Amino acid sequence: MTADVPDTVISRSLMRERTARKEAETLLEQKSRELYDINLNLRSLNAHLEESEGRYRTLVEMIPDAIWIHSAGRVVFANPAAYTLFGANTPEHLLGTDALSLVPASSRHQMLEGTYSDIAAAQCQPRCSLQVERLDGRLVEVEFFGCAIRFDNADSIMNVARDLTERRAHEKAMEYQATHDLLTGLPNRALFLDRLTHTIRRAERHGSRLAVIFVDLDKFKAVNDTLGHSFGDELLRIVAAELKLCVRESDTVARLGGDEFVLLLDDPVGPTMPGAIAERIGARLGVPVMLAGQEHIVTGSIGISTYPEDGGDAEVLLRQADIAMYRAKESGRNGFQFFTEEMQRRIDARVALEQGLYRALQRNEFVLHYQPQVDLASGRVIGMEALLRWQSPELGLVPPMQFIPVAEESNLIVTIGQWVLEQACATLRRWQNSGVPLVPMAINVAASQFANQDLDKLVRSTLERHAVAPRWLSLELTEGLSMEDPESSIALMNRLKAIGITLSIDDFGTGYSNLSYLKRFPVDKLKIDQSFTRGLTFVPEDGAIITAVIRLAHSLGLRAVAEGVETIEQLRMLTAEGCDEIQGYYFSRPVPEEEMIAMLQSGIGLDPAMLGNQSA
Amino acid sequence: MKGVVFTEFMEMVESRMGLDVLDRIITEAALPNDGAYTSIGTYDHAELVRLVTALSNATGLSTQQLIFIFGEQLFQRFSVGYSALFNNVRNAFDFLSRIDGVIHVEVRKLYPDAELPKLECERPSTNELTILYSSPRGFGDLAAGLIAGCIKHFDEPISVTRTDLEKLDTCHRVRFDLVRG
Repeated sequence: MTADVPDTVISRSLMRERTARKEAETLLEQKSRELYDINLNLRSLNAHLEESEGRYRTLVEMIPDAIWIHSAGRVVFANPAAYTLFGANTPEHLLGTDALSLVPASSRHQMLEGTYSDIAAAQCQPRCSLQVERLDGRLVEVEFFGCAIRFDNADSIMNVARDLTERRAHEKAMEYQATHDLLTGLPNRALFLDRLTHTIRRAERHGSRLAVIFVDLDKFKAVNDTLGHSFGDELLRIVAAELKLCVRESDTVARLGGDEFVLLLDDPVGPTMPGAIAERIGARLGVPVMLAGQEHIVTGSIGISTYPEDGGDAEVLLRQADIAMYRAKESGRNGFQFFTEEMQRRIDARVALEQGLYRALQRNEFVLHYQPQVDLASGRVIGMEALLRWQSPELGLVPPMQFIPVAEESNLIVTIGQWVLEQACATLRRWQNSGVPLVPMAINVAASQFANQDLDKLVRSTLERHAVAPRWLSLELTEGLSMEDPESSIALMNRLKAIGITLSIDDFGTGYSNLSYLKRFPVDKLKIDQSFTRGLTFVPEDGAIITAVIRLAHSLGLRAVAEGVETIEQLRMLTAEGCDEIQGYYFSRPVPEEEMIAMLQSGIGLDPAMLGNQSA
Repeated sequence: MKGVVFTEFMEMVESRMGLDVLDRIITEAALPNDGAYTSIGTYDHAELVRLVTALSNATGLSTQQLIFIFGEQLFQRFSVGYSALFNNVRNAFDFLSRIDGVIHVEVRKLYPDAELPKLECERPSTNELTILYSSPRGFGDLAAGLIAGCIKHFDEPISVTRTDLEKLDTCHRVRFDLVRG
């Protein structure tokens, strides 16, 4: 401190320095706090950046698409999917490699063309299909896009590729599934038709021939039902293998479904070859096969159609072979048939008949005729059977024998059966209203009607709607329809019987009745089939059967009714055997409604005295 | 204005003229903080003007002269206190050219609120440098002193011609033409 400086100056100077120091300290503290806050912010920003970077890194690492980036021609980044795609064991195997070496020379031009100025441009473009080359040299098909980016401060290209190997394999598998039968590995219907169409086109161009052979196994359902589906499947596989052995490599063997197989013979040598192949198939199928430890003989029915004889449309040729197969089956199975025009005409006629039946229902072309049933003890008419007639404006009066089988197969029989029931009840009500002396009316029930377990409800409601007493209605069932599922048939019969109607077994003796079930059937009558009645007077066996059936009926407490009685001799013999009722031309053919009414009103019958004389 | 200019000024007054002169001019200037400046603070530049005016009264030297001398002294102090600024700088032209683009940029990082003058440099030739000073505070004399201090530091034969320009809006402007050799 200088001596000539007054104390006051020194003390002021000290004061200033102290004040300045304090201000400096305050400023430093403030600055320090600011720095601390800035530091905190930086840390949190850093953490956020790290988290964000981690998130994006995870995305890039987890994404199944291969991503790799190259700068100045060298790979500088690759994600794990890229290592996998290129078969690199470690990142080092891929990093630093020549980027273009990863694309085969043939695809390089395409790859460079598919590289866009930036990501936005790349995203707007469809990905191109391209091959890349793995480090081991194998080529992999990929879906590719590339774009220019800045990476590590350098102009770079980002490449993105999706491995299509699995997708292609999946597509192939899908295509195989769509075109093949998975059980046998044979082509399916779609592929067969496709090949057939192509083969027809080629045959058209070259003037060559081809044949379609349709094979349907006989009684395959029985194998499935008795041995189970796994053995059924096994059999189908064996048949598939056998069929392949019957034809050349260039021919096609396909399975249409179920037990239906079809073969396409491309350009068979000579017109006899398809027949020879069919014979070979028949012979091969005839060789016994081992199934479930047992030998089984499988036969097949075979139908053949040929180009150009039978037309030039794949579907048509297949259908014609199918039609021919059906004919083979009809003619006793285990054989083959060539398609003929005659078969087509029959099919056409059948289709026309079926369409006619639909129209008949709509236009009310059906009509009921009635055939009286006569009691042999009293000679009086005690019942009648309502019989369906089709009065077609185009075909005239069509006999039931012609249209009933068609109706049965097309399932129209159910609707027709309902119509008959409805008409029968309506007729009974009408007659009752007009004072006609009633007798019970019998109607026939088809198998498919009987399969409907609600038949009893339908009968009950129809009777109620027309206010007809149940005792006026009788249902005639055939033997066969009740044997498919005897227990539920018996239950349905009991429900029908409970309504109060009567039941009879029709055409008795022609089916294969199980007598142990017969005794449990709650029926009232057995109707002896007219084929036995016809032979009664000159075939001793028929007489014996009729005698036995009458005795059987009586011992079960049922009435025996003989159908188709046409002569006085038949009538006399039936009376002598104790038959209860008859029906047939001898007394009356089936007659239209007015005639039946007249008959009932006149009280006409057989002369009981004459019957009594005969039996005496 | 940065506090370092105030503390350096007071340091210069005290060392050259003694504590009592300093005390006197502080008292005469009637400063709001009674001259308790700290180098890290920021103060109104008018206070420095008042201090210089008081010093002028006490010494008889003009304020322009005083500020110029202070500028020279200030540069010398900077060269000691901020030697890092002189790394890789070989001559006065290099240093002066870097003030706006390098040194002031660094100053702003530390003191975002600093109000710094603009020093635009041009090199008409290798041996010529033109510096255009512009600042609302009009410390052209301080700039002149700093330039002189810089030339002295690098010990180069450089002549300086000062031209006061017209104000542009609120800015005082001075052009310095430096010629080497």
